[in-house]
Amino acid sequence: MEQPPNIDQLFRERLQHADVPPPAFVWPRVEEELRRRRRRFFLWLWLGVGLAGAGAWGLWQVNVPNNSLAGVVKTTQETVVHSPSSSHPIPELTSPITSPAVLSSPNNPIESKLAALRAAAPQVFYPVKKQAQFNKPATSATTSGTPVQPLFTTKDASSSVISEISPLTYLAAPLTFLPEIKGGLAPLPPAYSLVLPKAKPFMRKKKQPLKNCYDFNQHPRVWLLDAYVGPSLPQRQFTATQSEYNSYLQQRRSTEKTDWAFNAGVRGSLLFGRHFLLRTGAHYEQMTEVFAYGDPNYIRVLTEQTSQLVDGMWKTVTDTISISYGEHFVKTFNRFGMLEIPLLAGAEFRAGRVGVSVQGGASLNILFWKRGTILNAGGSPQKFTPGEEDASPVFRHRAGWSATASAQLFYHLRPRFRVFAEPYYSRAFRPLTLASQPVAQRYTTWGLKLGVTKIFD
Amino acid sequence: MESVPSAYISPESQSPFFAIQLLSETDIIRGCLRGSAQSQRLLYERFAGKMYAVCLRYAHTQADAADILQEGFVKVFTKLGQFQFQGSFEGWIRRIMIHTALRTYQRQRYEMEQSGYEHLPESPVEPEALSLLSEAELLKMINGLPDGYRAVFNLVAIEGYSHAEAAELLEIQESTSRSQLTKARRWLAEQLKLLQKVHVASTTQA
Repeated sequence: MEQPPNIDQLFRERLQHADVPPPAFVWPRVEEELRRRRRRFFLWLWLGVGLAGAGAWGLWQVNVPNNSLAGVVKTTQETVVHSPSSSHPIPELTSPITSPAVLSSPNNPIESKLAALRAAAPQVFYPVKKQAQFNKPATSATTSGTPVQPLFTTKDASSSVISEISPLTYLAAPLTFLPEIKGGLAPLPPAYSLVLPKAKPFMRKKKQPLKNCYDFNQHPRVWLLDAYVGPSLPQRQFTATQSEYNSYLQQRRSTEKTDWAFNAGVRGSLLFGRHFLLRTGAHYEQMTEVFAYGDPNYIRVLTEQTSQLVDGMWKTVTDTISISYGEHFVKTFNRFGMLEIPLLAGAEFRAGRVGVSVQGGASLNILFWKRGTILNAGGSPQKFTPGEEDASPVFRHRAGWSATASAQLFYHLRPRFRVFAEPYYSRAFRPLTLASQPVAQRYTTWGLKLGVTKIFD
Repeated sequence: MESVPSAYISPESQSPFFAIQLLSETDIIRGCLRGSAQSQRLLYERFAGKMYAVCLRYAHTQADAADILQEGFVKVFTKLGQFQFQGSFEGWIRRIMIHTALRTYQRQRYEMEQSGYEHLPESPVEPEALSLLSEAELLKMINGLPDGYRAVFNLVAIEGYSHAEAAELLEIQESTSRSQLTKARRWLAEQLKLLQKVHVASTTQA
């Protein structure tokens, strides 16, 4: 067939630098698209800043120390006394105080206890509500021949018997005449609550159907990379291993409240056959609970001891000047962090730019860190933070396997870029607590993942 | 001192086309990088005609070409920071337009394969003398080529790409590129031959 030899040259010369005026509607469309992308850029910028801030705040929350009232707890170890109804009475202090004469005896065990307390007085000094009973400081006095710096004089200083006061000490003793406090352990109100910002309305003016759809028919096998963060709602279940621990279970329920929780993670997915999904990644879940414990049987007695030289003999008089009860409490923020590897299978269905996917499977816990305090079976606050002094193990080293399922609603902002919201459900197969614990503790978690997906083909 | 009459300032001097004459290409690009809407408009006005001609060669219809031009210029403005001020800026824009057009072509090709519809050449161009063929008519002739032939002919014969580069862009074999170019040349030669015969016949009758 005859063929023009310079056909390429003919078209190249005539068309390579051709200039054809474009339709007038193109430029307004370009301007509108540029404006839309600029708005979208700032929207994502603010979203990124918000996520980064939330992440930084979460990390700070992880590293911040517990807000326990350490001073009170520490002092309690030395001075706290429970009433006879308490499950932990102090044996050497259970006998009632008889008389000042007995107290003054050098062989009296209470006297020796008082001496120990007196020596420790500067470290265990409480803010005393009834200090108004005292006047200005007086001069020195002694109890056993050693000069002691006096602290106060009493209102009765005008009397001829007691003129000077020795340092304040604490005498712990069961006081049966005090009114019994009823009502059990009063739960404290939660200190914090989760406040989420209101979502801003999306600013897109009009839909452009099918413009930003990814062509899954052309690429039936693609990889998806997700990044997400969102709030969680863990539901805790307590189960007493034996019926005799039911009262303890009630105490646990009344002293621990779920505060807030969040989740975050990255996930890689293989989409094959245009609809089927295999997903895995790293999922982090952090829960915060408030442990607030007030001991209604707690009684603190403040006494003073006065030594006086009478007829060449030192006599010691002990008097109760302050009694307070029910004020001893401990409040900590218990935190549990879990890093899990989910293994999920599912399917997704699309209609234009919108689609849904459902997936389910199991998650393997590879890291379970915990920190905080609970009420032990003896009725006392007990730390469980691993590696901490005075802590005893309560929870298992790893949380094990859990079942999980979720449904995702996604929207294509671009052909290869999605945003999604994914409610999910997760339940641990086994309790988090050790088998030796009288109360088993397990979690069922509801949550919401808000994130973005990038598609790679 | 007499004031300058308003008629002294010609209306043309206030149009974007007049500003194009005054501003250098580099100034316009830097203005776009600063986010100036006026510079973007000037850049568009300077290159829109040439790029629309490129889009027309790759697209099926004028509407498709307008869509490609719009998408291509949005890419130009969003990726302008990647231009290194080395080489021809027009060549840089042209490459973006070609890539955008090919992506559209690949999408359409797949849709046609899915629907079982293979694009066939349209009816031959209207008989006119070869010397009188306008650029628009040549474009129409190219548009009559099947999709595969048209893309290869545009890339290799007009843009000067090698067969290896065209094959990579179109995700086809290099041998396929060569055979499609041959078929495209043959089809265009038949059309030109037909036009020449018609032209000779009309001249004889006259």
